[in-house]
Amino acid sequence: MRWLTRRPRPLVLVLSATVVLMLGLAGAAWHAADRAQREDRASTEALAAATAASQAVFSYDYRNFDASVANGRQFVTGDFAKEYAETTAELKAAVEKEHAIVRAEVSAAGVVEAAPDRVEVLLYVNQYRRNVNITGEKVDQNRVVLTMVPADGGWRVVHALAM
Amino acid sequence: MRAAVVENKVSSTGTILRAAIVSADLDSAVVLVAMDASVKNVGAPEGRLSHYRIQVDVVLDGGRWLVSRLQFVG
Repeated sequence: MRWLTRRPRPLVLVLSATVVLMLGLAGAAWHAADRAQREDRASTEALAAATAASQAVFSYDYRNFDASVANGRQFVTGDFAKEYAETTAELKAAVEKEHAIVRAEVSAAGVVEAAPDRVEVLLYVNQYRRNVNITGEKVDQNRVVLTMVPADGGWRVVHALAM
Repeated sequence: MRAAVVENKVSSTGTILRAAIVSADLDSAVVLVAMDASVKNVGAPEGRLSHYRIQVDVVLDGGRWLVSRLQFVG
């Protein structure tokens, strides 16, 4: 059977090449599916977190302003944590002087773009405002873009933009 | 509406700031569109900026995504 071993074996080569190619394609498909799945999960989690964060960060009450800020701080990280701390510190005197109460509600939210570790969320945030300069209640209809990143075991706001 | 638009020389130019997916499946989606429009008319020839918060429902119909509902979000 010497002829069998000595013959060139194009079929074997073709089959080997095919197997390698198919493994490669399967790997690429798996990688794409895995990434899509991670992006989907990131989107869902970040969307829920952004909605809760908006209500916390864009609400405050002069009767317990420090508690409002302490609550908001749980939803922020990085550069925005610093910005939030500075802004609320500057705001405190005016809030207490004007007896300001702001209640934020999210009327709609969606995902602008998502990566497994960074999600941009667009939210329509209504702020219902009361203070000594206003009779009754006023509503601001805001459009806010929050950039969410994973931190401290959840999704946190790292950047906020009001448009 | 046509008469009112023509008579008052109304023109509106819109800019989309962001579009975001609320939910989606293979043949339908709910999308938010945040846009600004500069609205000009005889009363405001220089234009006045309007801010919009829009939600659009779209469906895949014969290979094209078409709007099935458009609403301004309150």
